[in-house]
Amino acid sequence: MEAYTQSPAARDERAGRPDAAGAVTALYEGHAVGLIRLAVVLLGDRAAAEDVVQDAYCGLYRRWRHLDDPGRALPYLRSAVLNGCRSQLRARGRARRQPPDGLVLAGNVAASAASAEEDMLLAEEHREVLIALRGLPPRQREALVLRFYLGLDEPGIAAAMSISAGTVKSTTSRALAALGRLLRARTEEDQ
Amino acid sequence: MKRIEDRLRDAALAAARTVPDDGAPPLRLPGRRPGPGWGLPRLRGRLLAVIAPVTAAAAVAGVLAGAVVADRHDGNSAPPAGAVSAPRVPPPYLLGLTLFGDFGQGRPLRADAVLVSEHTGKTLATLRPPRGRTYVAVSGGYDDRTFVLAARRTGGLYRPRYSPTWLFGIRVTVIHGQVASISTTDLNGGVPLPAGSFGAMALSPDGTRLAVTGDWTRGRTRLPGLRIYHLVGGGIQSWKLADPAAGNPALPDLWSPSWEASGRRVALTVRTRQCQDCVRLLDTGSHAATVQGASRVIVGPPRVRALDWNAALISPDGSRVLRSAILCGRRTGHGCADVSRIYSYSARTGRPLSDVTENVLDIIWTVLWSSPDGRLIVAGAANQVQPYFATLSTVTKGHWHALLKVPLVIAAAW
Repeated sequence: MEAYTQSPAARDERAGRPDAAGAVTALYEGHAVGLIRLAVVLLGDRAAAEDVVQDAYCGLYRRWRHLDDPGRALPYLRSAVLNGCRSQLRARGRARRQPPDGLVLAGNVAASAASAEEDMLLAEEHREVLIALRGLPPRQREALVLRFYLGLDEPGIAAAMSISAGTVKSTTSRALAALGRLLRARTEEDQ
Repeated sequence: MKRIEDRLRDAALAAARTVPDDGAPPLRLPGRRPGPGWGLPRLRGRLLAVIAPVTAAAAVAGVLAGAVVADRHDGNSAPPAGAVSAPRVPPPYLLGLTLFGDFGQGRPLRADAVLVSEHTGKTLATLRPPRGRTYVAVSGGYDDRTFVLAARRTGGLYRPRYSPTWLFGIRVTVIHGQVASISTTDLNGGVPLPAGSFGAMALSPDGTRLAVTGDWTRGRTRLPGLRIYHLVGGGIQSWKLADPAAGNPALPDLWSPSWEASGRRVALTVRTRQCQDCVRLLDTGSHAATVQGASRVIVGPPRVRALDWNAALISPDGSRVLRSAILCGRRTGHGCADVSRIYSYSARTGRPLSDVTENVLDIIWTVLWSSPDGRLIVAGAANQVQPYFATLSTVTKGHWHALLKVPLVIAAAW
């Protein structure tokens, strides 16, 4: 009968697992800014980045009891942020292709305003690279950001993106080539 | 020439640096803890075969009973007069009006209605006004489905609080489909109203009555007053202001109506010769013809010298009156920086209580709305040149929780 009477928090404690709210809050204090920055690099929009990170933490909180190893919460969060960014980009693409008549999907109007403000803060050279980066397909963009911004190794990127190490290598290589092409094209346009 | 990898690394770091070290908003975890994990062991075999149908039947019966009770509770019948109902659980989202357009260029601006999740702060949907119109006010029915939106024709510059030119009518719209439509002409007895006559509005907690303030007319006579439109049945109750303030026709004499949770009384900010910017509590059951006859002053003229008093509202339990003011803050080279402050008063004695919020610099005006559980929505706008800093926030015990960053919030409701 013990199982019926114990509260989830008590069972967590007994299993040596920290309380979900406390643990998630501690993780948020430690890593939220880093994850928001990661999402900002991927999305170019701080408000959307904050949303994605908030959702990732809410998701972790809901699934906390099913987490086999609480020590792996950070990789889980990183994957959730990547997935969230991918969903955001997909939604933006849909909205661009087919603007609904009366109803507009979340965040697109505010997103353009916020990103315009943030772009003001960046130097011209960086802005060009970021615009080219945002022209890449989501997978290639993620691989480059994880490799060159977070400095993850191939197994780390593979775990975060749920792909094999071999695919990481080929995706990164193709992404770098594509980024170079995009930057060269922009330079030629300017000249 | 830098390698492309280095250029990418530098650009990513520069983009990341736009988020400061303290740039994470407060974490808002879901209120409930969903999913399994309440200590039930995994059931198998015959035990499962016996317990599962019984539990399912009990759950269905519980849900049905709950639905019947909730339906009776939320029915259309008005609550008993004078009773103040207990605070209800607020709906999971709220509706804000945000302004888009070319600020400062004299071009028409359009306000969209955005539905925002209170838990995540995400915009769930954006509702655009009909072509050629803009939303100017919103009121919530304190349930999860009813909102009233006021729309007017676009044209002319938007000026906060005062209705600009080209005010045409009120459209009563529910998010899930329009259910009724009235205009200020209907409320004025079929006589078209001059531009700028609409003041403000508030939907009663039971969603059956709409309180509208404005400058009504009879012939060439201007009659500032309150009208309550019964959405069911179509009747109109009206009270005129007997002694409007003289000297400044640009300022409304009557504005910011808000209902007590009982649905019996409406608080109003009233500007008369006798009492400038007083808050009066009007009894909707009264047969008096004037606002003064049907109401009493519950908060006297403010002692604080403010640049502007933006809104006043009565808390759902009828105990407090909240007012937002814009004050002159620290002196700058161009005059003074605006400071937004929200004051709280006892609705019984009219005495000031502790402040709800701390000073917030550079906010030129605010919108106030109260949720059924007594929390506040505050929307602050920085100024009209830099509209990105406007936020829609809830305030609990002095802490601001930013929900949404939007160009400019002009109204909000639960």
